[in-house]
Amino acid sequence: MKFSETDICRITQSIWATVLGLEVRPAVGEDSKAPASDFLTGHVCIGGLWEGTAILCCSANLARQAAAIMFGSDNPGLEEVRDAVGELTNITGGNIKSLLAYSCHLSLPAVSEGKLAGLNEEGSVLLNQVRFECQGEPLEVSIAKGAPPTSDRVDRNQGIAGFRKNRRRYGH
Amino acid sequence: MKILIVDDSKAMRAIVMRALRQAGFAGHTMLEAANGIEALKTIRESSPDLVLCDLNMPGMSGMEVLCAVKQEGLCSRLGFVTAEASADLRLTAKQAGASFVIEKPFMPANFQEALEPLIGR
Repeated sequence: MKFSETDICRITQSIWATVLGLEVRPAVGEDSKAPASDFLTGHVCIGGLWEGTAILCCSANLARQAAAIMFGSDNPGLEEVRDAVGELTNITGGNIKSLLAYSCHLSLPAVSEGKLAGLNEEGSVLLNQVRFECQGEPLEVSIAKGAPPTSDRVDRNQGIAGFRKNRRRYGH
Repeated sequence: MKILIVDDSKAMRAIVMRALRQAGFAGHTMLEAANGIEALKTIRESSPDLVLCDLNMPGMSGMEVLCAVKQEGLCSRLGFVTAEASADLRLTAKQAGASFVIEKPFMPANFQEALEPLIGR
């Protein structure tokens, strides 16, 4: 299964414009040099006949801006920021799932601090990753096949727990 | 009229309420529930005219809430607001008795289109 850069761009730009009224553009130039601790990563697992993960990673500044818009608040708290990233990840994952020809289900989103580090020990494969810029801040959307990649700091892997619970519910 | 918004994300509940106001439904009473169990309790106690429910929630899913509403013969009409709006899911939701399925991301016009035939403005 291939997920094109065009599809990822279209989905991401539509979500950020519709939900937040923000313009997202493909990034030009080198990756951000900001430390991993300055980022938040959300992921949702897609399961069923195809198994993979949709991952959204953005700077903490951008996450705060998104939360401020969603909540109509000048100063969103940490839980509100995590909620905002989780919901943006959820919508991104749902739209990516809709590209699949197979019937699949979506886990609950999980949000962790840090930046996507790469493959985990179980050998998930990064299929595509698109870097964006929004309000001068970095944003990445990635799709991996297999179990979710690790991030630098994972407080609690709610995504996997939610996926396994849903997998039992759906009889897989 | 009473409209109940059910989503485990407080951010999404805020966005749905804003979209409802922008769609012309500001005059209705908006209630909130953060999960399926809370939603069912509110439906039993407050009898909302309309329920806008997320599908994928921890504990009790939106589909389970719909099934409970139908089984208990509760009068609230329920539709889904979900990130997972495949053709299969729309068919399953309709067969289960959902009044509509609105896909995320949505515009206020999506709510107008889905809700006006049910409750007017």
